[in-house]
Amino acid sequence: MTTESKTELIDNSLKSTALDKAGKDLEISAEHETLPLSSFYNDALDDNLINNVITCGIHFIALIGFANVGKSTFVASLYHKVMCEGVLSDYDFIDSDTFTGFERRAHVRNAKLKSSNRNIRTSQQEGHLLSLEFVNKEGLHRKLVISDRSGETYQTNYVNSVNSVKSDKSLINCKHLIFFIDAETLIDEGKYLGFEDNFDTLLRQLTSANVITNNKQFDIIFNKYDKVDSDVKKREFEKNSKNIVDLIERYCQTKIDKKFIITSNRMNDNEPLNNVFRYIVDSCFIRKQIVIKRVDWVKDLLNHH
Amino acid sequence: MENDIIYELLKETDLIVPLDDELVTELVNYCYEFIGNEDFNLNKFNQLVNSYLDDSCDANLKQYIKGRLKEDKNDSVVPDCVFNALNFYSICISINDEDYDEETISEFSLSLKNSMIKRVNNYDSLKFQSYLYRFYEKDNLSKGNEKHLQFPTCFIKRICSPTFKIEDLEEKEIKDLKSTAYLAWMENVKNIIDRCTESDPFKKTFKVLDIYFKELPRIEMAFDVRSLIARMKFRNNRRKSIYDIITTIRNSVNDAEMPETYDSTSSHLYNLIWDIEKLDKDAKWQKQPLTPRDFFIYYYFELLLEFKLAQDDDRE
Repeated sequence: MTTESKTELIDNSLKSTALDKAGKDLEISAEHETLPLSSFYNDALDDNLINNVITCGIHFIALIGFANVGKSTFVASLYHKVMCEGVLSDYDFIDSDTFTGFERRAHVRNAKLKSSNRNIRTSQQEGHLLSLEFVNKEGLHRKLVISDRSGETYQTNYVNSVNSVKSDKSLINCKHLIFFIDAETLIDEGKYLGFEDNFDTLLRQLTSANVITNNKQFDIIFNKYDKVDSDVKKREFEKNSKNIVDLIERYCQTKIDKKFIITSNRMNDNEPLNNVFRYIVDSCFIRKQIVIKRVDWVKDLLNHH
Repeated sequence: MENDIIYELLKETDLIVPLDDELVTELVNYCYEFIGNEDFNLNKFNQLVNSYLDDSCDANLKQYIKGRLKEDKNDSVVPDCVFNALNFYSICISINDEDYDEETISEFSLSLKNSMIKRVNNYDSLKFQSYLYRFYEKDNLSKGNEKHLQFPTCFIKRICSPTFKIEDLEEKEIKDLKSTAYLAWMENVKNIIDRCTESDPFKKTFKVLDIYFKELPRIEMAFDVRSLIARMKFRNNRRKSIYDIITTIRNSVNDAEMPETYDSTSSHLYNLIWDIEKLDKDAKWQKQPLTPRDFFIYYYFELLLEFKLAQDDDRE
């Protein structure tokens, strides 16, 4: 990121802080929220600022899931990994435009792990876009941008209003969507039925708003698999996870290739989680492009010879 | 058509949030201003093409757009990926611009095709492909004008008569005269190829095309390249890297044959042959292998465009 654009970001960031202080400092729209609103240097970004950090090739992933499925914990674990190891897959971790945003999520994850009574939710008001920059052995830089919106946004706003979804320009524009599903919900019959209905509505709204279209990449992560700790629960998980996959495939009109089963809040000896991280970072460097034969006009000419 | 294209092009960029319509409209207008400037010519067009092939934006275009945004007191930050899309968009609108005559558009189009040598065998990361090939079709120069004429026997008999004087030529016989010239040119091309005893197909291409374009009377008399290739009778289809092809050719020519100017913005093979400093064995595109037929086509059309431009200059 250039010094110039960083300065611009700081300025914009300061402007929005001043505005928040003046107008919305104490405004807490979601009933869970207790934190005042503010933006810091390197905080998670919102739609207004994110285009300013496009300094190299971007891979943009949206994590879609209801509250408490572990999206932020997952993101915090990814951040933790790259910060500790400096490397992921074959790529060196270089930088982030949103260190503070990650730190906030790391705090949320730690607070939750330590059963603290402090606020442990991602706020609907804070920026949802986080970035990590990697470089491969050939010196090619790629930036991974992750949309980590609060679960309430999906669960309440988007389920209830298609216009809310339509106003989410980054989500509509996103070409790689990862659905986050709480494995614990799938093994609890009481919770599951309500969840399935809500999730079906969410998928319908996403389809109506052109978030789900046939030229995109879709994956599924089943999180909190550590809660599936008996044979009975495993059978229940298998049955219901299949239903959810079928539901998603029906809306996406495609077979979902990648389905991950993970526990995102455990870092040690967690190969399934590391596999997802590697897959995500690899996605930044694998750019599928269909070569249109007619672009090679010489070959085209010789073929007609 | 163009306004729709810009939105499609922007969809192929790394933008996370689409730009506001108002900003897009302004950027589109700046591109039109840039290509509509009276200084805009084939060289400036080629600068856009070369930037596109490098996945970047021409520095002049970028500077112009930034300057216009500043003039309009618009503090929007335009990411590089958008500049790259605007660069390609400017190529699209120059080729489609109705203010340019058909010949100029043909020159732009052929020049774009010729520049593709810089991405030969390496198209997978090339952006905006679904639009690119459509602009090839605007090239009317490369279609060739090979005619199948009847031998004007009566006319030939008449002018070969010992009593024939040039004043006897009638207006209606001009057509026959031109047919005779064309048939003579066809025979000459056949001889140029047949007389060339060079066994290396790449050196043979260089030598034949060198004579062909020195002797080509008018661009309108250029052959269809496929018919020329058929006459070349390439038996060996072994591929060789561009670097090796050029090195081989360069070693077979002497500096006395060097043309007066060889700094074309679209004839990359031609530049390499005559400017040894541009040869770079580490350059990705120069490592790419070509068959003799591929090389013939790329080199033929480079020389054809150079011939056309020289003909335009003579006319002026």
